[in-house]
Amino acid sequence: MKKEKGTMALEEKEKKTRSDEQKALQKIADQDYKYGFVTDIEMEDFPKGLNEEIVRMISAKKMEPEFMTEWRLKAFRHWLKMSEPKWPHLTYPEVNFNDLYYYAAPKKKDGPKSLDEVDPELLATFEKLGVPLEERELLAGVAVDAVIDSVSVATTFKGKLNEMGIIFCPISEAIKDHPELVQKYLGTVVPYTDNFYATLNSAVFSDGSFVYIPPGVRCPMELSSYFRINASKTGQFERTLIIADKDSYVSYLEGCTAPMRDENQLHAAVVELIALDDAEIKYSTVQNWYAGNKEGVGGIYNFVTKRGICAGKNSKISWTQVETGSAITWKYPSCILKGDHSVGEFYSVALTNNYQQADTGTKMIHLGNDTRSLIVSKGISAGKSNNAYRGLVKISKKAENARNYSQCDSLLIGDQCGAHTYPYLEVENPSAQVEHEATTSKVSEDQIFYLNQRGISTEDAVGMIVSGYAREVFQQLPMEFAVEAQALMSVSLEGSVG
Amino acid sequence: MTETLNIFKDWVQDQSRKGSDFVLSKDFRQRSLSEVRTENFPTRKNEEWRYTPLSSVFDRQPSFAAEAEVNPADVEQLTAAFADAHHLVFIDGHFNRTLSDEISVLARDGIAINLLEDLEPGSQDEVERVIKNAKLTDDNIFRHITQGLARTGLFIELQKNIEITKPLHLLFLGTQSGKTTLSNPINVVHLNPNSRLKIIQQFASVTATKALTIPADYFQIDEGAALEIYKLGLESDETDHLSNTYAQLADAGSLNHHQYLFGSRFTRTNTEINFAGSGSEVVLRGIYLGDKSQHLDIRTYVDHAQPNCMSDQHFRGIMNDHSRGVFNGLVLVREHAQKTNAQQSNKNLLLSRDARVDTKPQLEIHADDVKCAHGATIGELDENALFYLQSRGISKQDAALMLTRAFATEITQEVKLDSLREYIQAEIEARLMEAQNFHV
Repeated sequence: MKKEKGTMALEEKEKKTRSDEQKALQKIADQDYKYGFVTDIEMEDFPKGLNEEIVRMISAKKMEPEFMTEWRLKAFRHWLKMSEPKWPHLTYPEVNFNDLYYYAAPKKKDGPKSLDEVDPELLATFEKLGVPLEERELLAGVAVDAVIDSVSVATTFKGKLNEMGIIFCPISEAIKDHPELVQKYLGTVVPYTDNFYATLNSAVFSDGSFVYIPPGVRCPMELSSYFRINASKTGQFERTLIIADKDSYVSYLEGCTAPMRDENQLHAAVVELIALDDAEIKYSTVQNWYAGNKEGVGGIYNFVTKRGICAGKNSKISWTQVETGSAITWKYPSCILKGDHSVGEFYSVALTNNYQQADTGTKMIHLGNDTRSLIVSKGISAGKSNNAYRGLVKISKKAENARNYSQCDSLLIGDQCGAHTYPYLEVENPSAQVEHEATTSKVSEDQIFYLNQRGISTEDAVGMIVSGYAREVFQQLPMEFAVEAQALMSVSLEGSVG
Repeated sequence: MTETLNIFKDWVQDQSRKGSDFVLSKDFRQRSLSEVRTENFPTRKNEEWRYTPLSSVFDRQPSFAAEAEVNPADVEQLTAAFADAHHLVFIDGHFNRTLSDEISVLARDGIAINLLEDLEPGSQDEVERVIKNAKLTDDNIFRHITQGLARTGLFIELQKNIEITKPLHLLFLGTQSGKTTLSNPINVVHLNPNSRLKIIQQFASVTATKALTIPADYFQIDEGAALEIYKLGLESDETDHLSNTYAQLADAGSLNHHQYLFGSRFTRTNTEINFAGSGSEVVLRGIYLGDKSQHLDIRTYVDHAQPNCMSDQHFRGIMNDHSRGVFNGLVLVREHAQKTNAQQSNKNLLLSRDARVDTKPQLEIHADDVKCAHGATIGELDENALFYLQSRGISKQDAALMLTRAFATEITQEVKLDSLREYIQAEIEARLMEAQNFHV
């Protein structure tokens, strides 16, 4: 009798813990998108739709030189001949490109000279996002080129960077102020004919960041750009161009959030990196755009082309990405290793939950001798999501002594999600050494139980296991980003266990 | 290219009109032929054929050869290696009764071997049922040609609880030079519950044979049954070989499928496995050894549709001279296939400046409680190992041969039939010696 009572008490307790757990999980699962708000700024909208006229209007609006207008038009004409690619492991309704606004900018009288003149609403937006624009910028040591719906509003730290000869400005400004650099490098890594979305971007890109690091200069601070998609139904077409001249170094951070919207928004950015002799570019992304709700309604389509070229000898390009947001992520930050002894790196954590889909990976194209590349990809799938790694390692015939190592792991949380690995290895030179490894595992009950019995809640346990799993990639992130990324992971993940 | 393609297609339709000695029912053949009419040859835009251009294959106009006289010595030389097997010999796409063992005798042991051309109408339905049941993911045009124009093949059925210890040696020999001879046998093997069978499937040719070999294999493995298959691709430099294999396993079935592809100008094998029951095991092994400008492409597709199954793939490529190797494997673990254990490994040795390897080991996983891993490597012989052997007085050439042999042995050692293992190892040795142009 006594014994029975004891068992009952135990059961009771267990029940209670379980319901506590469920409540806690429910709470987090119900958590609304933290950054889901719409800034009330008047939009200077163009008519909807896309035609040559719109392309000309965008170019005229930005007072671009002739060569840019022509380049955009060439891209647009080429785009008309292309069709949307269908090969990735993704499903989504077709995008109606004529139902989008191709240009939206905060309405402004004259350009603000200082932060005081900036629309307070806009500043409040940055405030909520935690962009260190004012005093904090000094403390954080971050120079921000903030982009709200296509036009850079405020750029800080210009003075200090100017002294060193570093150019860090909106690309629209660079087109006007440094046309020679833009004309020389724009489209050299991602030509306007590259792919459907990159071509579209070339035709209609609104703004983005431009960075030039002169020879021998080590950029003293992390350069950072916050992207936000704000106006409803605006396709966001960012264009970023980073050039690291001989023997220079730059670390660039890209952070993305978008307000909650019910309709899917398209984001088709292009990022081009160029590293000359002995230069190094480190590009880090934390992306937590709105992923849609639990039923998979809404969310961002993130179709991005990112590519860097190690043009000079001993150059290095390193991509680090933490992808937790977007309804659909489709991107392959790539490296063309053209210079001898150049190095390409790709570190990625992609987390998908609910109905999110991600098809991401990298391409490492080895052209030069003694080139090396490293790929570390960590996929985490939860809920009903699908997460795919797709990567190419190509060793061309003339690339002697190339070396590649790829590690692509998948972690599954729950039995309704999918994790896929599609590596392509193409080797035409026998001196190459190419290795690919991949494993798939799950957060096991044993691991959770072990942590539970040490008094750690199930949620925290999962968080710990996952951050341990993704640690290799987080280590690559600059400090302030690493913290944010870890926090993002737990927010995106929790609610998926149980 | 479209022109040669159309000529090829017309030829297929033309043959079907003229011929009378086809072995499958008219309805069945018509369906395959209409597929041939509408479907195109896969181009490089097709992900499954990305690294394998076909233009050189259908540039050649095939034809059916009449039954030819063969020198029995040619055949004996090939069968002698497997003295302890039952031999079934096909020459240029025709079954040869004189050179084969008497098949009706085998029925005593509980194994029914029927030529498709000898089938009673009822058993024909059985064969067609098995074929129709096969849903291939790379349902390529060659399989439809094979079926639309099928003139010979085997239907092998093993009774319940029967184990045949003596392997079946199926020899497909090409002897015709000049015209490209079409050989398109269909092999259907059905193992009833708890039966066991071993098959050596050898494709070979007399020197200078010109042929297009497009076999289709269907294996149905019932509860607790076990099939061991060793496929040897040893055809001439002037032969193109494109095969399709489909295996379906019921509960606790087992399949051991080895491929040793050393011959042919152009080889493409497609092996698709379907787990229809739980607790089954599939082991896929293979070596592709290329020389001159050979093209060797192995595709595998393993569909874990049921829980608790194991699949283990290990393929190795050794590429010499201008040869090109392709591995394209996919493991699919479906939603409810929990407790799946799937391994996939592909290792490649590039022995020459001009050789090339493209590999695509893929995993598609929809269940969480699984153990899945894959790996791929591509590289040349280890400098240090070569140096070590040389420092012991072994010539560079011998050292390279030794290391390459060792690389292959990791696969061949798993061949359970002694005579066959020795035969394969000797074949590898001979071919490596012949290549002689090690890039070391």
